[in-house]
Amino acid sequence: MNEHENAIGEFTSRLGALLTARLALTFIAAWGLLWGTAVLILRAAAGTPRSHLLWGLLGVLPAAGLGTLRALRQMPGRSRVRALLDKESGCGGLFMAAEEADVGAWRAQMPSITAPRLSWHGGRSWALLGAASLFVIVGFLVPKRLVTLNPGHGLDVDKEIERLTAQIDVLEEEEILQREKAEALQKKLKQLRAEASGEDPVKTWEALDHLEAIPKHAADEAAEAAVSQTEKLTKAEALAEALAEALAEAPAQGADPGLVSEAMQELSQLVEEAVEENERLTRRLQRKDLRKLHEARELTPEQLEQLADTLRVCKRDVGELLERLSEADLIDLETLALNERVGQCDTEGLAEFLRQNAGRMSIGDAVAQWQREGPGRGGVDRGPGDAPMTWGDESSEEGAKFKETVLPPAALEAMRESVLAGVSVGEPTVEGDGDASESGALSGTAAGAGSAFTQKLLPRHRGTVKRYFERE
Amino acid sequence: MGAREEPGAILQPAELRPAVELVNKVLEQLGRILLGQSELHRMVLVGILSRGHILLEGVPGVGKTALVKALGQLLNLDFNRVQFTPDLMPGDILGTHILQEAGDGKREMTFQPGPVFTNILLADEINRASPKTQSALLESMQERSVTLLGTTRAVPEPFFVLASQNPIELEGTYPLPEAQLDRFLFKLVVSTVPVEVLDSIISTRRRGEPPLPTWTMSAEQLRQVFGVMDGIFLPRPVSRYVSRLVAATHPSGAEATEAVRGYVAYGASPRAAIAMAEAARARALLAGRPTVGFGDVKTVAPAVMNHRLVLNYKARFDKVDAFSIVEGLLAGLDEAGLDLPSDLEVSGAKDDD
Repeated sequence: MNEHENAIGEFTSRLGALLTARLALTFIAAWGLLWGTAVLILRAAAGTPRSHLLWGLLGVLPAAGLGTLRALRQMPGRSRVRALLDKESGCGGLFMAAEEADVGAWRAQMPSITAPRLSWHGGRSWALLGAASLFVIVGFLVPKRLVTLNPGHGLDVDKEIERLTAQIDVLEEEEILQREKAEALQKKLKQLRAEASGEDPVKTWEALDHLEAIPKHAADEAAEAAVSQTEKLTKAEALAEALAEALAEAPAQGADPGLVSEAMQELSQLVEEAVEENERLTRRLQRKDLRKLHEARELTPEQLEQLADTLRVCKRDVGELLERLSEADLIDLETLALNERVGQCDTEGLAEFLRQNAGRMSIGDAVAQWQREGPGRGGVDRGPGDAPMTWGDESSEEGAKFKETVLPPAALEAMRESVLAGVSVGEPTVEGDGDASESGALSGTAAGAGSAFTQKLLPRHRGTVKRYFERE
Repeated sequence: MGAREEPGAILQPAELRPAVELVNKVLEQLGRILLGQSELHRMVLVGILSRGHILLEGVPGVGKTALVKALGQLLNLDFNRVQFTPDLMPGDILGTHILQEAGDGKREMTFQPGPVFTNILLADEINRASPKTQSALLESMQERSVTLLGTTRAVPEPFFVLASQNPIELEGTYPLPEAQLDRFLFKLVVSTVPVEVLDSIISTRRRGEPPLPTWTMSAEQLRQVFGVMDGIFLPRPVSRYVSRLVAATHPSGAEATEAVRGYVAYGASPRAAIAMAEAARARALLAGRPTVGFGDVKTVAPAVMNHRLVLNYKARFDKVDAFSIVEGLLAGLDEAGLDLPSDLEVSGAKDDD
C-alpha cells in the first residue's frame, strides 16, 4: 500500500509543481504588465528617474508567492487524485474502494498503480511572460521625450551655458574671479540648465542674462585695470629706455646728474605704482633692482635696459590676458585696440621731450604731459583731452553752384506779391507793431456788422483772397 | 440473500466468483440461443440484474421477442407476452374482476389476474396501445403492485417489463409519455445482425427457431446473484461522477456542454442517477469486479440517459439525437473531477475492462 500512497504523493507533487509554475508565470506576467504601465505613467507624469523605478523588480517575488498560494488552492484532493490513478491504471474502482473499505484479498489482484504522464502546454504562459517583460523593458528604454506628457517646447540653453562656463573658467584661470565665486556661478548654471523649460522661457533668459552680467562686469573691470597697468608700464618703460639712452650718451653730451636723479626717482615711483598693481612684475623684477630703484640710486644703462625689457614682458603678459578675455568674448576688440594704443612706447620722442623741457617742469609732469599729447586723451583725472584742429581735404569752389529747386506754387505766387523791404546780411527782423493777422481773416470782425474792413494779409494768402474776390 | 449488512466491506473473490460464473453462463447460453448481438445480451442482463425495466427499440424480426423468451427460460422465470394493440384495455393487462358463483351459491366478484402478474412481461409494440392502457403499466413498473378496486396486489418477484417498440410505422401509434419512459432503466436499440450471423441462423436453424437452453438458473441461484449484486461497492468518486453526469444533462448545469445548452429542453431526473448506479454495479459484476469503475458508468450511461433527455425543436431541425449529446457529455466530462486547466494534459488512459 505504501507503493500506492507513494504513487499518489508523487503525482500530487508533480501536479503541484506544474500548477505552481503555471500560476506563478501568470501572476509574474500580470505584475510585469502593471509594472510596465506604472513605469510609463511615472516617467511621463512625474519624470521619475529609471533607477527608482527598478525597485519594481522586487514585486516579482510576491507575485510568484501569490501564484503559489493560488496553485495550492487549486490542488485537487487526494481522493480525486486516487480516482484518476484508479482510472489510468485500470483498477476498475478497486483503488478508490481501498480508501473507503478493506479490499482484503483483492489487494493482491490490484494492478500496479502507474501515474499518468502530466504535460503542460505552457506556450501561452511563456508568451505572456515574454510580452510582459518586453513591455517593461520598452517602458524603461523609451526616450523621455516620447513619454513626457505635454512636453511643450524644450528650451535649449546648452550653448549659452557652455559659453558662460568657458568664460568663467577663463576668469578663474586668470584669477580675476575667485574660485568660490566661480564655483557658485557654475553651480547656478547647472541648476539653470536643469530647470530650463519652454513653459517659462522669460524666466530662464532673465536668469541667464543676470548670470552673464557677473563675469562680464568682472572682465570689464579687469580689462580697465589691465589698460591702466599697460599705461603705467609703458610710461615706466619709456622712461627707463630714455634714461638708458641718456646715460649711454652722457659721457659725450654730459647729462645733468640732478636731472638723472630726478628721472630715477620718477622711474622708481612709476615702477612702484606698476608693481602694486601687477604681481607678475613683482615676480619678474630682481629684488636688488627694486631696492635700488626704491633708494633712487642710479642704475646702469644695462640695468635700465633690462628693466625696460622686464616692463615690456609684463606689458606683453597684460596684453595676452586681454587677448584671452577677448577670445572668450568677455571684452570687445576696441578694448584690445585701446590697450595696444596705450602700450605704444615712443622712447625717442619722450627723450627728446624731456631734453626740450628739462628744467621747465618736473620729470613726472613732463612724462605725464608727453603721454597726454595726442588727441582725445582726456579723462576724469587727466583733464580735457583737447585735440588740435586740423584742416585737410578742403573742397574747391570751382564749378560750385546752388542746387536748382522748384518752389511750390503758393510760394511762387507769394514771391510775386512780395515787396522788397530791404537787403541785409543779417537775420531779418520784424519792424513796426508787427500786427500781422494772428487769427485769420475774421479777426476784429464784429458779429452781425457786415461792414467792410481792412485786414492785413500774409503774402502767401493774398493770391487766394484775390482770386476769391475776382470771381464775379 | 438480502443486501450486505456491513457497508464498509467489499465482496471477496470467493464471494463474487460463483455469481460471476452464473451470469457468464447465462451470457454463454444467450449467445448460443441467439446468435450475434452479444453486447445487447450483456446490456439486457445488466438491466435484469439491476432489476430494471428495459425498452427495446428495433424493427420487426430482429429477435426482440426471442431474446425475452430465452431470458425467461434461462432464468426460470415466468414469462408473459402482451401484444399491445390500439383496442387493448387496461383490464387486459392488469386483470379484472368477474362475477363468479361460489359453491354455496353465493355470487362474488373474483379477481382474475392479468398478464402483468408474471416475472417477465413482454409488452410488444407498447406504443400501439392507447395512453390509458400504457399508463396501466406505470404502477406495476414502479411500485411492483397493482391496485384495482381498492385492493393492492403485489406482482411476483422479480418483476421485469421488457417493452418493445417499432421505430417505423408510426402512424396510429402513441409515443410513450415522459413519465413512463423515465421508468425504463434502459432503452436499447436492437439492430439487425451482420451477414455472417444471418447466414449462420439460416443454415443452422429451421424456420429460425432458436434451440432450447442447455442450462437454466434456479431461483435460488438467481437470488444469490441478486444478493451479490447488492454487495457490489460503489466508491464515492464514482457516485460523484454519476451525479455530475446527470446534473450536466440540464442546460443550467455548471458542467453542461454546448450541445446540452443548445439542444436539451429538460435533462435527466434523479431516477436516472439511481438507474445508472445500479446498472454500473451490474456491469461491474459482469466484469468480475467487486467495485464499480468509471468505465462501467460510461458503458451504461448512453442506454440509461438517451430516452430521458427531452430535446427541443432546434435538435430536430439540426437532426441531433440524444445519443450524440450523451456521447459528447461523456467525452468532455473529467471522471476524476480534477478540474485541471486546459493547458495541463493527463495522458496514458487505460480501460477498466
